[in-house]
Amino acid sequence: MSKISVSFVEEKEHMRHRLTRYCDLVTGLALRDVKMRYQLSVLGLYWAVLNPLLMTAVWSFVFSKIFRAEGIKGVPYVVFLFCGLTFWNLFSNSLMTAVNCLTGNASLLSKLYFPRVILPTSSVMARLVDFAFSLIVLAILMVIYRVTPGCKLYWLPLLIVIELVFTLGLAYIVSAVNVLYRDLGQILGVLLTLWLYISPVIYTLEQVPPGIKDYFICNPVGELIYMEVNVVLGSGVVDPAALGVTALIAAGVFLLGLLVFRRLESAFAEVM
Amino acid sequence: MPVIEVNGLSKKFMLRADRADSFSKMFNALFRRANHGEDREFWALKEVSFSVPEGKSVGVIGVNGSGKSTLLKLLTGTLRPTKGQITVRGKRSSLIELGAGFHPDFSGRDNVYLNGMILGMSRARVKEKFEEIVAFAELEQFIDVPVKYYSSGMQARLGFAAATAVEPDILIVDEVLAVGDSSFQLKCLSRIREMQGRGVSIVLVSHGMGDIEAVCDEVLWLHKGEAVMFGNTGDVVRAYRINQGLPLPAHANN
Repeated sequence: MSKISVSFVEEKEHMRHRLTRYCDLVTGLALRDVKMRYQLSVLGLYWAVLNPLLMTAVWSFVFSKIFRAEGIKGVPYVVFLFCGLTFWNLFSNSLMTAVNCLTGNASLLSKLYFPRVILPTSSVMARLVDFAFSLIVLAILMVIYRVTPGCKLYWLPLLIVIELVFTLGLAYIVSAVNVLYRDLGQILGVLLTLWLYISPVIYTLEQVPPGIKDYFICNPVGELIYMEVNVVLGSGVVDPAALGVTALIAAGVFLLGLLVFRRLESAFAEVM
Repeated sequence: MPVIEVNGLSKKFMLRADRADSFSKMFNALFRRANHGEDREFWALKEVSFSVPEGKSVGVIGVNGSGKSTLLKLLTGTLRPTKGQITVRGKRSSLIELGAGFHPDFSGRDNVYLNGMILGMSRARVKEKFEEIVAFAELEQFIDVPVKYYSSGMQARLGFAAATAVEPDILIVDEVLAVGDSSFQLKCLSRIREMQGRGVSIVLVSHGMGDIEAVCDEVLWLHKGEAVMFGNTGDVVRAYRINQGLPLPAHANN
């Protein structure tokens, strides 16, 4: 009586073809995101570079000149800070975009069917564009300040992938929850600011008092940023145990995110 | 085997007077014991059953608020049923609304690509079909202009061209034919005819009995979420016309 079943039987499509289609769609939506953000501003895509640069300029003045903060030994604080912010912004900006990706596309969601998870995925991917620009600026800064990159730089791609996996998982959660409770969109900015301060972006892990330092392993983003910054600018020692734990947490959060998204997905069209 | 089978399909919406849309409302609700306004149920569809045989086309008619659009959304997959079964066999494409999914700030070209990919084409496939889509929509000159500057007729043409370029087995269309001018309507009808010739099933929602008669083999008449009648187009349309006090066309009197 109350049995519900919905089945859409389509011709067997080759897995590879389906994946291509979804990748195309993710890319298409991500590029639209990037275009949308920059097309109406005079400086356009330069903002992707100017934003973190301006932030770094202000912060490095406050933290290094007034608070006398120090980054990695032998690396100018400006470079250290910009490097940390580059990796932090990938995470933080992704979530800030993702939180509104479903609510901002209400008309799309109620009128066309496609796997919904594509929307938060593409809003994270869109941030890779800014991230790439930021990396280029980082390289330029390193040349200007004569900072030699760490010799273990080959770890970087893996670290970025882990960061992306973790970010995607959280993006699925915040985007889905925000459909039901718009309050999340309001509080997220504050939470992320808090998160930034408990992550080794403006300071290094070595400066944290030993008693508190033990808890830092619970913060996968902080752990990742610490490793990423060290690989780029410092000695580049990657602790395999810490990396393993972080990778596991990232995978767990990713799966949890997919699960939460699945559970809430059916309510989307009705709420919007 | 039917391409669409719908069995005892029901869809309930909650009309909540006091839905906790936000945490603040939730907190308020916690402290205020009194239950202001009860949750009211609204059944947009009640126990609807019908099927569409392969290669046949079905029309859905009924006054506003009869559940036509809800039915289409259930068929496309944007809504989930509360009860009942839906089985759809084959590739779907839909045109639920004029330019659904078009972004006003982007050019026709960008929108065709994105819309095509949302409807299930790969980028390469859209590229192959692009010329044809633009030609059908007669927008060669305006394809790089933002869609917000398009007239509603231009948007309708582009939307229809994109949705049909997918080469679906089932095309779900909601009241789109009514938008354009008569030459566009004729063009759409002939595109639909041509698709039907290739064995494509059409599910068409329309208030225009002429369109329904021209396209559909069978018709489902909905009223307040319930199926009043399902059967051959001539019979159902005639009954509907009488019920609605619409004039019967001369040939129907014979």
